Amino acid sequence: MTSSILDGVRVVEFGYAWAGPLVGRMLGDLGADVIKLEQNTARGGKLEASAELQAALDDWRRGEAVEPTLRASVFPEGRPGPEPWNSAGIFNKLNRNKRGLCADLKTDSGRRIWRRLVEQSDVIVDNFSPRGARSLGIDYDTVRVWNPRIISVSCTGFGHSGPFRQRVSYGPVLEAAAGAAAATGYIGGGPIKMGHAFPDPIGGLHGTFAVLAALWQRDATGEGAFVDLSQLQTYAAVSGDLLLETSLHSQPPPRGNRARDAAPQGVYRCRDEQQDSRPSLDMWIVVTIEDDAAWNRFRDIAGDERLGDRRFDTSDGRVTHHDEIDQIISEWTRDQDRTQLAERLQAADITALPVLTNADLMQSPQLRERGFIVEWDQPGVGRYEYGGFPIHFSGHARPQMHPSPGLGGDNREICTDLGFTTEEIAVFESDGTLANEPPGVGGR
Amino acid sequence: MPDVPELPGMAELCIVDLSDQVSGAYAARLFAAAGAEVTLVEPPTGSALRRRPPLLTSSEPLRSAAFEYLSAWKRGVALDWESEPGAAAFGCLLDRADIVISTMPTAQALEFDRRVRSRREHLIHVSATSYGLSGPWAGWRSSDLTDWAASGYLYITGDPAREPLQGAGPWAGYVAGVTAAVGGMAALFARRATGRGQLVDVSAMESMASSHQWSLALWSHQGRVKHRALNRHAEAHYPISLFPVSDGWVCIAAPTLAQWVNLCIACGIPEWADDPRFGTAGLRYDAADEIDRRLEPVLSQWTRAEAAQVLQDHHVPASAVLSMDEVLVDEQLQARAYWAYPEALGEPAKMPGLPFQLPSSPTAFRPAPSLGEHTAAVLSGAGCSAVEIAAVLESGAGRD
Repeated sequence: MTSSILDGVRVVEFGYAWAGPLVGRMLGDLGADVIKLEQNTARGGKLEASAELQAALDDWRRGEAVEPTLRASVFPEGRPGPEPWNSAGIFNKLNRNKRGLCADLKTDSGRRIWRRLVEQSDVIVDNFSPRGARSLGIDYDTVRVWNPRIISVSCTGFGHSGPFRQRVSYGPVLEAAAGAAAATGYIGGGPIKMGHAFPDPIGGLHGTFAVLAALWQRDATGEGAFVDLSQLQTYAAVSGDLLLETSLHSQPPPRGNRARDAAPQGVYRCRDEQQDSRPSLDMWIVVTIEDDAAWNRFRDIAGDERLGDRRFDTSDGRVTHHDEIDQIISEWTRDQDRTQLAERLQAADITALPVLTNADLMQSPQLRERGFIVEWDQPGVGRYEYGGFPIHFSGHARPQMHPSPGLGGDNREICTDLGFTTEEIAVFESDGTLANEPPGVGGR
Repeated sequence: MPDVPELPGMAELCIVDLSDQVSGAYAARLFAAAGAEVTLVEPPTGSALRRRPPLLTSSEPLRSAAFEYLSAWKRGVALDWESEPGAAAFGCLLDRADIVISTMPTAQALEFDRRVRSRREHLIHVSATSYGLSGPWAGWRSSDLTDWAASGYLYITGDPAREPLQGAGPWAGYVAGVTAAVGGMAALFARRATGRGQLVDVSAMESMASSHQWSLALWSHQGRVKHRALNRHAEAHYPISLFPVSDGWVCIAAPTLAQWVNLCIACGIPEWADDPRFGTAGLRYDAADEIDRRLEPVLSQWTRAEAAQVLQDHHVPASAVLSMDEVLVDEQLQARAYWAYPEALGEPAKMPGLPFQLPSSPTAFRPAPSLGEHTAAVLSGAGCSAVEIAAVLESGAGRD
């Protein structure tokens, strides 16, 4: 029993933001030796110990609005600590099970390190633009000469060819470009983006599959590969059914929360709850009624005689009078506990679920019983819980969770692994090729 | 058990796809896109996916866009594998298979797993469900919308003054599908070391929960609930939003200081570039209404295409908000030969082809199979005799 399915596979992940690092995290969870390569500016600079920042922290402790930069970084208890570049929850949740190397590839020493990384690794993952990759010397044409067996996966927004190949993007931009933002929205309303930068995990998961398939093929043929992974394409790929429909019918997919093969279906308000420091939060339940039998069961439980209206007996009738039914259901759910109601409906074989918040996910008996919620002691941060690995193997233990590396935290160990001597490493450190702090700290 | 080549390539991998949900069907499609041989096995009455909306026809024979898209590059076998005549033929298929992918409900999936893997040590079974094969919700019913609710994405998407909003497609199912495909590939690597297959249990709920940007850590690190923020990027960062222009909307994402400065220059408000009131992403987020009031008159003079071009010329991430119709004729996707053309569906029909090109990827498009299109050929290739195949077809357990 071992969780190290990819034992012996070395990956260099030179990624920013979310998509590229997610590929590294998935491979690291599977047991690959993932080296996270960063520039010393990768995690931002020093947070100024300014009066404004201290005031914001004081506000936070009083339960008032937090300065948004602090919220975005998700520092533990809102405290950046002495090394904020190493304590941001948004970084640490994404970079577990990796080793950290911080090197300036533009120096001669940096180029030596990069070449040895390429020669001694199986996979390189990056999400630089084509122009940026070439200027750093990490492009496939360069690295294949040093290691013809290398798998190079480049996760760009738009891909390495085509008229938009130099365009820059973040996830929300790709939602817009892939038709997803326009298709998502309330009935009669404008476009809506997802609550997180959804194209990033879509791209990162596709990238992970591409790495594994390319590795498998390489082991059979001995030949490496370049995978030009356009996040626009992977995001459009999860709308393949909608795009095919549109190509023939030229009408946008329906909006809102209803279904095309179930009625009623909706998101209904329940009793408010207190989950964090706010006095109350809006809470909701989802109900889907697939057929007449489910409708009859639902009607019996709801017990409102208005739902017995003969107009609602058929699926077509329920579609026609959906607004009216929604109103009755909303009145019924409004003062109920969403979790108890969902349990009651599921017990009657009715499709229903509470709408889960992030707090619910972290406390979910379903996720906890399955071992999805994990925790580790992050140096300088402390012991906190995180979302875990989403794949369960009957023949392998759950992945061990090693903390995310500090910036350059494994510089010496990695350089030693690459065959550099102690003296050479000392030169790399003194000439600034290796770093373990952002610029502007420690007198530099 | 057949001989498994020591190091087979992708083309030597045999995948049996029993899925009738998006998740498993997409996992199998990805294997096909990577060059594996994928056989869809559906009942003689047709997979439930063939009736899944959106439908391309309003009368029989029904054509489902989801089925036609998700089944591309697969071979089709119509076989009642639970009936006595069909079981033997199905056994031949599984004997050759490396991976079987299912989307059965929990109890059925576990019983199936016990039955088929007990006699085939090499076989990998990838199960994709909404909640997973264990835990208190394992037997619960689900829909695309409950998958959104379980994912934590529903609560954070939409207008804070209104009900939470689902995404336009069954994307939780797709995310579970990619995750399941990763699990299947990983199990192949594991089998290479151990010689044994295993059960790979993937849920839409966990796949989506592990696809959160920061909200799970927001709770564990700060005890805060993440809310809907309409088109703003939740707790911080600005500008990241959708903005109206003369012919629709553009998305602008300029959270870094350099991007903000470039945005100010592109929009003709250079005096804001070094205004300390907007000096950090956080300050800009708190001033979002003021920024919107200043940007919108400038942006409204441009079309979507003009705005995207001007902003990209200034290295500001931006795109027109395109409708699905417009995506179908997008010059970038056209230039990258992204589309596949299922000719049997009629002239204008097109859909995404390969999400990415691997050395092992198929070179020619193969449309979704008609019901039972490859039944006889596949069973013959799996070692069934002509007499056995004829018996299966005559009994009604198979169809071609």
